[in-house]
Amino acid sequence: MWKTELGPFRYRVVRSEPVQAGTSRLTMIARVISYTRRRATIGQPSIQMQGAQFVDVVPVAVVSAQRGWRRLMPVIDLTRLIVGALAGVCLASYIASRAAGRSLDARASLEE
Amino acid sequence: MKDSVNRLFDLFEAKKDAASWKAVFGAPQTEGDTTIIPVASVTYGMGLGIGVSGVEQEDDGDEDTGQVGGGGGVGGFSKPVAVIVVTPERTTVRPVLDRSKVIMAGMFTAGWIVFCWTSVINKAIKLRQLKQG
Repeated sequence: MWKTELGPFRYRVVRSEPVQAGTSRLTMIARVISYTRRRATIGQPSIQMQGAQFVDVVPVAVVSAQRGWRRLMPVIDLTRLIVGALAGVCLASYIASRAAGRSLDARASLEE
Repeated sequence: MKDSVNRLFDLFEAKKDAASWKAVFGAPQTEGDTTIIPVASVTYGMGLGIGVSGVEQEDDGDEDTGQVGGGGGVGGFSKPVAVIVVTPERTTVRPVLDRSKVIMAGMFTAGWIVFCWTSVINKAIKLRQLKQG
């Protein structure tokens, strides 16, 4: 397991023990990102405590041992990949259209 | 009250450490000579706040609490990401595609592109008219 902590943020890569699935022995790998914040003020005449936590667990890869071979297979979130690419297209289109619009405005003012 | 605070903080630590690979990789399901393992991504969050006012420390060590107020919330979601298919010949990871989300994102992208470039096309037409006129 691999772990990094930065203040309230923690990043871990966790792996399972080998699991027998059919004819293959699989080792699952996942990454865990967590944010934990807790605070308490104890005094008189008041006591306050607050806590917040956010945890995101995402599968990363699977190691398969089958027929004497070991393979590392990444687990890809295809939906997130496509939606992210479309978001990039939107951003690029916005930047390009703004640049083109300013260029046309400059040329129009020159023509006038 | 200090014990309650420590217990609450221990709960947060326990929840943080409990997140593991078992949350995203399901149990193998075998049908004939094919084994399938569902894979998902899981996200959850929680928040909590408590306030006590008018606390007085009595002589015997007990605390006399006044008014107490608090609130909290928990939320989470999980979505399928892929399926691991194990056959005697090979093991594959097949991604799961949410078609409706992709189609909606595509439609939004198309509308956004039209919105961004409509004004640019209008300006280009006006510039052309200026040059001709």
